[in-house]
Amino acid sequence: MTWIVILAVGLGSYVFRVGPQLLFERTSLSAGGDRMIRHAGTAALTALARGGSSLRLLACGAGVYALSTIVMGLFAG
Amino acid sequence: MGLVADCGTETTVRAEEVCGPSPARQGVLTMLPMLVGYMPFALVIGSAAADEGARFAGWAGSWIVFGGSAQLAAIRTIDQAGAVAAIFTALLIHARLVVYSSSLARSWTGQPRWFRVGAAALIIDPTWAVADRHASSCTDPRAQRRFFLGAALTLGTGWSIAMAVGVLLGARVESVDLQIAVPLCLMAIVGSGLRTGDGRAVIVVAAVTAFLTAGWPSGTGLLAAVAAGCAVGVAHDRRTPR
Repeated sequence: MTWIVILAVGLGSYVFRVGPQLLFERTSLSAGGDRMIRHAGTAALTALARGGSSLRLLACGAGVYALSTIVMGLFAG
Repeated sequence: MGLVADCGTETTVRAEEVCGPSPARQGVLTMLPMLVGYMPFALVIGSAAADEGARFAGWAGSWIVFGGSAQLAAIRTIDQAGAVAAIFTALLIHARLVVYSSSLARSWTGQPRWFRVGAAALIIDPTWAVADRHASSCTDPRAQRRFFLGAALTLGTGWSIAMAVGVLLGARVESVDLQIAVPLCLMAIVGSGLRTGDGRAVIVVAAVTAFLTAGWPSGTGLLAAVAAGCAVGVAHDRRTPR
């Protein structure tokens, strides 16, 4: 049963991923459409970050954010 | 670089100046800190799969599904509500991938089809975030391609290894609340968006909506937050002259 679910979710997810790549192969998004998609992406990441315990998140979020930003800066720089 | 044959050495040097000498290495190094944040989440999913008695299927999902929240929701929903509900829930959570892929499609217009079709399988929150940011400063298709593959394969490999460890450790991982690392990692990604007015509006509205819809069925609150954030961003764009 788990195999069927994993394969079905994988297939469906791939359709979500590859569909826009094929759809926008010949046509392109307008500048407004592109901005809207970007806003939607940022909103999705923000909504996902809501997970976990809110209190602990607020307690240590700022510190870890600062630390991870510094680490990312060091590695990417 | 990709422009050598077409445009000569001068253009190549310019592309290297903008995109850096080794985009693949840059992609690997950009993804490594995020991978550290995601590894505990992979351990938890591996552990949940082991609890369900589906060790190999659970681990294989690390590459087949390539998305932690959807895979975890699917694994935990199978027993409670059956296979159809598990698939539906996971796909609802993964509906956001349409947004990420649409966003990257615009940056990837110069990419060959094999890359667009193959790399699409590796689109997920962190790979979208780093690829979108990289594409805004580097327009060379080959450099973008190498950067994305470096970043995405680093994430996929580390993710898969961590999930395998979670499968082997089983219930021992569940006793430690490690999932806190993922929201923190996502906060680090969206944090840079707070610098702009429209980014702030989108993030605040999406966060508030996500909190208000926390009790909604799996995935629907996420979509509501995406819709609300998106609407506010568009409204902000219309009010602000560019």
